[in-house]
Amino acid sequence: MGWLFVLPNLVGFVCFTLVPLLAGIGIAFTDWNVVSGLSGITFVGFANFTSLLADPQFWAALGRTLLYAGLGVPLTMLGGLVLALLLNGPVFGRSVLRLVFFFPHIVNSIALGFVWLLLLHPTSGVVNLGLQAVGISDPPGWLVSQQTALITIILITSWAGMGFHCVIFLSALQGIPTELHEAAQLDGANRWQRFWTVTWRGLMPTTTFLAITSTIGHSQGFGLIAFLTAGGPGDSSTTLSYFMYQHGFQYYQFGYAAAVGLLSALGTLALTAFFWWFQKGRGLYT
Amino acid sequence: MSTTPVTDPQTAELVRRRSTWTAKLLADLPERGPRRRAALIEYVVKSVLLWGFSLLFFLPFLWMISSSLKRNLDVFTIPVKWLPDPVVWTNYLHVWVEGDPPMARFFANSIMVSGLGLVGDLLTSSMAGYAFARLTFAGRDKAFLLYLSTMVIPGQLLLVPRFMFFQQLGLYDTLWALILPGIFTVFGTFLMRQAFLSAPVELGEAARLDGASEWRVFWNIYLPQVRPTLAALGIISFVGSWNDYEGPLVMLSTATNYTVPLGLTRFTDAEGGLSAGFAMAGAVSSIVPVLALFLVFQRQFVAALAHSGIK
Amino acid sequence: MSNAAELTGKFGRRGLLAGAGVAGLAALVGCNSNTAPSGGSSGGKLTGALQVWGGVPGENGPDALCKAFEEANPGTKITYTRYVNDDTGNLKLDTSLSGGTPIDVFISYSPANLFKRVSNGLAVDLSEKLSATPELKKYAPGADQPANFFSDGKAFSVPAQASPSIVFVNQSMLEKKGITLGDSWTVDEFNDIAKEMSGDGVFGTMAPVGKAHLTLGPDMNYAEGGKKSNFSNPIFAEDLQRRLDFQAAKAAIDQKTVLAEKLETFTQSVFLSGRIAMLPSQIFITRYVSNTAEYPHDFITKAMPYPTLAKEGDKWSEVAIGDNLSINAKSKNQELAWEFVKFWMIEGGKYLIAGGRIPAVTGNASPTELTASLLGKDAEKVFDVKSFEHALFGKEPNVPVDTIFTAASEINTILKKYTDEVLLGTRTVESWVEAMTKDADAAIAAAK
Repeated sequence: MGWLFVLPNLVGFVCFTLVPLLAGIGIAFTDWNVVSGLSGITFVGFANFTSLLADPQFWAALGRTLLYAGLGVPLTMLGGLVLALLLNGPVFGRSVLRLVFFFPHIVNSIALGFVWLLLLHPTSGVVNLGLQAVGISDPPGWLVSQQTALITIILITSWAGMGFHCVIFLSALQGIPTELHEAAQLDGANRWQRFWTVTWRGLMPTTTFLAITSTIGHSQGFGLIAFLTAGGPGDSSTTLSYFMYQHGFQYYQFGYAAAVGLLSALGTLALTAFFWWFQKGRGLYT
Repeated sequence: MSTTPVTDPQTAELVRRRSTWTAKLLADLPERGPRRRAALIEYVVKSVLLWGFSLLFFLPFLWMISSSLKRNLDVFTIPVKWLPDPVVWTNYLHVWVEGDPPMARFFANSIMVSGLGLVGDLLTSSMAGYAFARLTFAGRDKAFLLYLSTMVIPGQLLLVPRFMFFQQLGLYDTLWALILPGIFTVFGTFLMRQAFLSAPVELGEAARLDGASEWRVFWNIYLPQVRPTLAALGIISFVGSWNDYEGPLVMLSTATNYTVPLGLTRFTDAEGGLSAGFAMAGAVSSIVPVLALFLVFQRQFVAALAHSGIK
Repeated sequence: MSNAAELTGKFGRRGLLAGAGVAGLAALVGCNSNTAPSGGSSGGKLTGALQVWGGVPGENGPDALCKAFEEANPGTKITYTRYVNDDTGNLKLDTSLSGGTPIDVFISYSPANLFKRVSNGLAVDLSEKLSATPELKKYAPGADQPANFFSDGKAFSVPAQASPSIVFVNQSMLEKKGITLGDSWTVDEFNDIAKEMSGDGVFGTMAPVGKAHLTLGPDMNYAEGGKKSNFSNPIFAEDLQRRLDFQAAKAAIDQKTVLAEKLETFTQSVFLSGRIAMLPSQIFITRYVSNTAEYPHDFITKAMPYPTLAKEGDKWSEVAIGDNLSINAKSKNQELAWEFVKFWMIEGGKYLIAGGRIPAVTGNASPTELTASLLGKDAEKVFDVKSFEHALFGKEPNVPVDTIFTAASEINTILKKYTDEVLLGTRTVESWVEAMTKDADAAIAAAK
């Protein structure tokens, strides 16, 4: 019976996502530049992987990606959770606020990117003007300085992702039966305790979901990076996904790019497994 | 509408006399006394903080609107002039009427793709999510983990194989090449599964004991429970396909089939110069349906407040 | 080499074209007896439908061109599809070509992209067809001067555009500083004038003119016939040092600002909003200058020819060939496709020139006519028209055509990375030379 319910989604998924996906993985074992068509695919076994592991730029990109996800995921989630908790109670203009925080998700990414370019402009941007006003004479270069480009990207993408997390947390918060809150209150629990025993546990499936999808998103997304810094200055903001884009779409080394993708996927998979294991038995009903 | 009935006669009087939002607010707060004072302070502080923070989020939207009313030269000047000078209303005219094909065409295509994708995604994902969460069948958890693990593979890898696949199927340069992948997503299934997990197990028991079929249990009992998440998924699914650029880029070639994001690129010339005024007018126009959808769907968030617990 | 110079001098561009005009008529007559049945024929002309993919938006010329072709050849239908000329757009063209989407004629905008398609057998060898057509003979292999991109000595495309670089000068700023310019200038003179024009928030130029390309000519990034990179040649370090000096002297916009405001994408805005006094660039800028509705400005734009190394002129000019038309090897209508390509090359120029693309084959048109078409009506309001005529058509250009493209994309990325670092101050010029040589050599070796 269960399989019947799953079937529509599964069949479509297999056809339109799984098969192309497997083909994509297969490409990691070939040396292909797409333009040669299907006949141009030459099988090279693990050659792509060995050159990848010997490529210092790969390791550098990997390090940057770990930093990017390691800081970015918790930041985005925390921001989303705090916003959702605040928006779950009475606030002035609550419905409008919900929409506003979600804006970055729906707005054209050129607009997003450009606004931040404006704000973070080293000489005329509001941020640096403000910093100079409070006495910091040599404010950071943000997006145009090799030392700060990656951190800036982390902050910007966290800001952009918060609204998305907030919407999901909000919907989950409202699924937690109020009786549980009332029961806990009757038991004498204060706000903090109520949060941990009821809210946190009730949110566990959602938190897991967001942790996993956000990690995946951080390891894959590069649209904003492409617009804001194109991986630079130098290559200080070249994460694995941008590295993959360069090798695939610019140098047309699709086999190499697919190998990067596969390794990245394996890493994310490991993290996902960890999150999965972590949430076992910590939910409300599991 | 408020959830707690107003018992205090003085509050009831105030509610009767004042405007709706103050009435709602007062009804949501505890009864008069020190707890109400504390709650009011909390209300004010929260509102100030959130609105302050929200200003940052308004900016990209404001910039888009401002740019859509500027001449192309003025859009990317730094420092930025937030008030366009001169104001150019004709950008919208150009985009909607003089475009070839005009924006209306792109809109129609996008609505079809995102609309059908939305309905399909909600349906198949909630069914599958429910199955993975509340139904028991052989290999359930293993199948789900396998399903889930496919999400980790970067979407970039999908682009080229999908293109060739759709060519073989003869779906190249049709809107179906965009609609179909949007209907069947792991993301949606995952989200719905987690939502169903938060719904109490006992809910369906009573109905099952009464002899209701699995489908009824799903449709009439569990699904309403997760309405907020459905709404969230609806918004996310719609927005995702509405703003998708790479999918249509790879799958479509005739301009009359273009969806909105791809249509906006028709304002770039051969040297990569973007006619930003036009592009932003198009972009602002394209946000309107998304905003409308959001406002419609988010009523679900509020409505769910009335459906708490076991009835 | 002196032979080539002689021959170019004897036939000269205009001379060759005048002769071509006569020969062209003969060729057309000859064509009639060769009607191939593919696609049908009516009275000696070909019919059928063609799919053409190019990067220029249709309304900037291609649509008018296709319509003109249809009128000249009744019974034909040309569908022009525009693809966006960026990374994903080019990938899309490639996957369409190799995936069998019906495309008959496609246009490549960079040699790297062209060669990708050629080396995978997607383009038809046009060498013989080119040699057989008098107006296009110079693009065939074996011509005195390479004027086309060749693979294995064969031509798989023909360049529709010859895009000279000139210097756009803000006339008002020139007059304000009391500077008068001659007919031509050297690189050093340009750089000095750029310094003079800077000040009061105005920069002389985006970046000083370098000497590497003018000195080294084609394939300047490669040494030993393409086996190694050429960046240890001192001229590169000199050019880079000059850029640093200009930045420091505020004669060129500093790289930090360029990156922060993405000025490299919007060079026309930088010039037209008066932030820089002079802009060495390819010709497409004229389109923005003419567009006073979207880019209003209150100065006249004067044109100067690209600076040369020596007063008398150099061996190499700063001209790029581009817009390479190819016929898809899988096309089912190759005869008609060739007719179309010929039409685009020989007669299509007038439709495209208004869009800012100077055709490689200018036919019988005089420089005055060409300039007028390029600059549009009301040209006097925004252009110093005579100066454009002189800058564009004054001298016979000697076009440096690159022949080596090994690891071109990778080298460009590496170049941008290290050059940005030097200009941002986190790397020295010496270190740049070391790093460039090492990484570029590695990329070339890996690309084999």
